[in-house]
Amino acid sequence: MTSWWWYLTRATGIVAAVLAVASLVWGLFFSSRSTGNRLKPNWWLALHNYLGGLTLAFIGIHVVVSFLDSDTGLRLIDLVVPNSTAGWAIGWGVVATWMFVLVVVPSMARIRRRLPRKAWHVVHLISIPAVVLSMVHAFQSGSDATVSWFTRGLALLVGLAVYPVTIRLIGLSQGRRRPVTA
Amino acid sequence: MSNQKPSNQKPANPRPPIDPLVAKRLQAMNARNRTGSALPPPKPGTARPSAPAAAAPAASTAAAPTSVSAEQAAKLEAAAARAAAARAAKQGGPTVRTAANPGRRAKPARASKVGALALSVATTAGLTAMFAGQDTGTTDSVVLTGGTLATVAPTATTAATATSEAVTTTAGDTLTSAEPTTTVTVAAAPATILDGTYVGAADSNRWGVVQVQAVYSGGQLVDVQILQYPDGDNKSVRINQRSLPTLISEAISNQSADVNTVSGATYTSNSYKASLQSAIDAAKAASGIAG
Repeated sequence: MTSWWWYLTRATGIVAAVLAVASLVWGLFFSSRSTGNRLKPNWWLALHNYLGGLTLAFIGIHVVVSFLDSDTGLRLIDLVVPNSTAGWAIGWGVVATWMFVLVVVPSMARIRRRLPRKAWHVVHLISIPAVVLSMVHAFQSGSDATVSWFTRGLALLVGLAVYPVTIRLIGLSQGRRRPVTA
Repeated sequence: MSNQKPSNQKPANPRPPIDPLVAKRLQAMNARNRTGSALPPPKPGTARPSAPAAAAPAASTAAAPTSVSAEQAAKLEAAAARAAAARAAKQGGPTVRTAANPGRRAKPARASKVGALALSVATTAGLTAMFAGQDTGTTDSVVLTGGTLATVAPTATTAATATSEAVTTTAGDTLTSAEPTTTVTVAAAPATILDGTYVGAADSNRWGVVQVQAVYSGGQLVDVQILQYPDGDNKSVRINQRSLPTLISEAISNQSADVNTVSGATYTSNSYKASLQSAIDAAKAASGIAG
């Protein structure tokens, strides 16, 4: 049975990474107004929110299952405190998990309503380093990190994430340079 | 041509004057908000439909057959219900459920959400099955490639023994260890470990046996070779393939068995440390170094 926990740990980790990148891409396309005319912005925002929640759910499953797998030798403190005894390969994943919690929870409607928009936005930007750290975690501690399809997939995910980030940064810089017309 | 000069002075009142008609309308709206009325007061000659018009549209049409049709009355009533629901939601009160607003919220991208969930679950199941399939495949003999490699596992030894060959040094002094088969020559510096290969004790854990041998050259630990490791199943093989090279390189760089535990390979790491420490102790003992 422990082997099945092990397979599930790896599978949920990979799916969580893909979902995190997808949520990031959706959010960046939405915030940069690059969503096109075919689908309403409402659709993009709703799916972005949903993917964020789904990412956190899969991260939760990944953490719980890795704890249940006795072969990993991970203790509860290893999954909560970064670099407690398990080293930074696992520690980056713990940091990324807390970052995702910090991003997703304040975005829930009930909490977000009470937050100033600027504060929420600053916290929401943590999602970008969170995705980066999750990739580092996958590469350092992933059992499949030496397999070619896994490394290629990671590279593809990073590329997918970099593209909208670039679009967003270009949009921001153009917005700042735009002359004031009165 | 106007001869106006651009002035940097701000006007005394930056807000534009409100149109009297707009101001009147705003006042009327404020009055309605205070009274809680959802609709403007009826114009003279028109009758406001009685509530609930949706439940009894015939009655409202009967009350004003000439001015407000049944369709209009229904629309007005629906608008009133929506406004009341919006006010209640804004004030944090319970949601007003009416025929026009049954309490359901809009759910954009519902199909896409269901698709994303289904795809995620299916991918997880598929990957899990794939990993299981990989492990149930044929188990080839796996060769560790970290550091250097010991492809042939010797018979397990329970105690650390030095098995190095005699090495002639400039000093020429010869030391014979307690082991009768081991003869090493003392190097010029007596505090350095003699060149040779030293086998560590086999350390057992719940997943198998780990045994290493330390290779010394020039008084330095230059290599750690794995003689035995848990390879009963593909999972153990994969874990040890990943962890042992790290442990080997770390031991060489630290020149000791004091290495960090590799995450996910705790048992192997501990056994590796124990076996390497015994090999180093054997090397020190053979070299006449105390401690």
